[in-house]
Amino acid sequence: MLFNSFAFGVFLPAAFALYWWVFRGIRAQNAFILAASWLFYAWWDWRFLGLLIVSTAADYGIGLRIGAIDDDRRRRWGLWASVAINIGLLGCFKYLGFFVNSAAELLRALGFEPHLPVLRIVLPVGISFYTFQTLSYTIDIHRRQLAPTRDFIAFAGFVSFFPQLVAGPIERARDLLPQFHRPRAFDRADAADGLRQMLWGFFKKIAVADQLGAMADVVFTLDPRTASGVTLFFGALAFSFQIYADFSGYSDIAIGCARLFGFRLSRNFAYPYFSRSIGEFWRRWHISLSSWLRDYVYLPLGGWRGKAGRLRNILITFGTSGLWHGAAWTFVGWGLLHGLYYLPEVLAGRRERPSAAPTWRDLPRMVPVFGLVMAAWVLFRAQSIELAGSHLYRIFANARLRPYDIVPWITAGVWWLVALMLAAEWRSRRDAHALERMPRTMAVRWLIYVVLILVILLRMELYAEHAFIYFRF
Amino acid sequence: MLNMPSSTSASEALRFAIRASACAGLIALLAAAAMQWGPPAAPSNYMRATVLKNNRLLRAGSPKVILIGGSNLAFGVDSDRLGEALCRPVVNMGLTAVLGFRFIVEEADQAIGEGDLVIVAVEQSSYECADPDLDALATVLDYRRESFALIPPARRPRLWLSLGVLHLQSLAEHAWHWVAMGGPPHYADRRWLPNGDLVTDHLTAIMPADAPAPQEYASLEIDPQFWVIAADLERRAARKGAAVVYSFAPLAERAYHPDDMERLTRELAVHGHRVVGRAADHVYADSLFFDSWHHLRAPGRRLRTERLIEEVCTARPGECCDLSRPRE
Repeated sequence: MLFNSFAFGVFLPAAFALYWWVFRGIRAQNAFILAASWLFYAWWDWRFLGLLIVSTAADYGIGLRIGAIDDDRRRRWGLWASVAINIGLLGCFKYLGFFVNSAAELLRALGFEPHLPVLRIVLPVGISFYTFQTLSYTIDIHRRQLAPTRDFIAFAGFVSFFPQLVAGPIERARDLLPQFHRPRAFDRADAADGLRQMLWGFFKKIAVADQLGAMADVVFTLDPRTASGVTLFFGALAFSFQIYADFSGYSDIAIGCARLFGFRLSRNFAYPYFSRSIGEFWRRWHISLSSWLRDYVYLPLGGWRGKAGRLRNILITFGTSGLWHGAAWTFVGWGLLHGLYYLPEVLAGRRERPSAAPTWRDLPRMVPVFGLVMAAWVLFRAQSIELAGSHLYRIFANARLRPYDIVPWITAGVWWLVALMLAAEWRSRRDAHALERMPRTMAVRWLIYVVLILVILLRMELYAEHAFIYFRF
Repeated sequence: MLNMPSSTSASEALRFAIRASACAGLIALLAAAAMQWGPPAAPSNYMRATVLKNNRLLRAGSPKVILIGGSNLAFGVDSDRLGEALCRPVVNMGLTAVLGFRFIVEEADQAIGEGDLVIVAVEQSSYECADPDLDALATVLDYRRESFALIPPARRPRLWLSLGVLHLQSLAEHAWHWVAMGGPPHYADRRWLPNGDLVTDHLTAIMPADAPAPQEYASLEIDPQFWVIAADLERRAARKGAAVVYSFAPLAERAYHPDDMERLTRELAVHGHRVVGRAADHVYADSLFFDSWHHLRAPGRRLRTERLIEEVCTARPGECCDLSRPRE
């Protein structure tokens, strides 16, 4: 079920009403959340619900087993079983075709004539998210940082919680699972703020991302050799804002939706395009994935120990991040490129530290960072590394600043909405979302809500169903 | 807060839900106002033809010929010539395939009577997906609200929502045109004939020679639901003493896949449907189409009509009264 679908428009109010008025008490509410989440997932394709249940049951059982034994060697076997199951699922459904194709290409390059099957495997939606979520649960138990839960309903609710099931934020058990064990009471102020956060998420998705998507789709199907530099530049710019508005919009809807049910999800975006360095960008972009990779890949590899080790670990971690996004060399290249961007900061010895919110004086540092990120998005979006390279090269090689090339791009109405999004988020850069601080006067607040809803409805493309970009990861 | 009794939570949630519903209600009121007093959801003389076609269908007595399908019929049949050859009035219900086969059948079923001949000529997309595009359907229902009765009740809320949003969008578009250009937007005037045929200046345009072959015709996978609806149509027609035959939507040479069409013909026969003519006879030169591989230009329309007459008269001689007229 998509958040931006009619089905969800019916599902959410019905789930809200049943949750608060019919299923009172924590056990009943947890059971209801689980049933609603499985329905939400099965709406897309019920056959893959079995996969989710298998993954849940396996990690629930393994978690209990690891928690029940003291012997480190046997605990490690339990952990490897969990890793094998989760990575195995991911490998089968997400990466098998990619590795088979890559092996075939390699063999062909070596002069062999391989007869490997062409695999077309359907990628179960959300698999990259929920496998990482359950994996962190067993790893934390193995590290003795978390006690396993005996409550299967609560655990399954944690894995399948519908607001974040298909595209995150990737929650840690230590943050979300205890919320399934505590009684929840309805907090009107929190729910109202959650609804505002959802509204902002819908604005970003429907009014900004979907409009920019149409623009980016056109440009990325052109042959870069013949397209003008201006066109290629605006295509890259459109995709940069599209992917931000799409994914952060999804996260806002997910977090806001969870708040309606009395849950707090982790923050996933903190205005990444206002970053002053690549390190800061990664502390603000897809925070739940970055911190997962830091805790379960980078630090176990050795983290900051030794200069050479540090560089290697950073490249491995960023490469993994790229591969997590998709089974294609463009994604791996995108991750590695970000790793390369980050190396100078590492070599300069800058350690991660919380930084104050940016100001206008930081603009000269923010613009180049955005430029680097935008160049990397071309690699992420392009069909191949060659096409991405050609796209970037032709932005400059084919640069002809003629009015009739530029005017159609800069006069597109969607840029006003991008400007509105950036202005609202700049104003709220110290807040969790752009509508957190609202005017005190109720009439003004309501006017803002109604105008935003109208903008969403007026920009909505009824004939097309635009899935969120991260659903395919 | 965490120790708050659940009844307090429920009443707090209720107050919250009422306020949120008030906001949604305000938007619904705006949409309702736009629906009542604003311009049509999708101002277009094309979709408005649903009124003309349904009026003709409901007024024509039996026996008659009812053509059902998508836009291939709107552009590609000379109903008057067909009517002359078959000695009875023709109602061309073809509008657009995206309305879905179920809706197209339900529309025709309103007026199927004894002695009627129903000719089904749907596009490939209707075989592949019998479901309608609900948003396109909403634009048709906007012009003819009585057609809501033909829609399953479970689908109606979604259609009303689409209508509300489309009306708001249409109002905004009109307002923008008033501000920017000092007048309402211009919509192409399409000259629908009273029999439901569409004769416009498009009939003189030609599909560009370098237009790519459409990918969607590369393979045919028939939606099982199509057979359910087709069987339902047969049953209803038989009960009313009418006959149903299947013809083929015209297809351009470059979009034609003989294997698929032969399989379709076989499957129609296996499911007990009467087919007139051969798919291969409804493959026309690319130059006879204009803006899609199903939309015939005037010369193609004449050719297709004559072929259809010949096929119906060969398969069902009793339905035909005139084979002596020379072909154009």
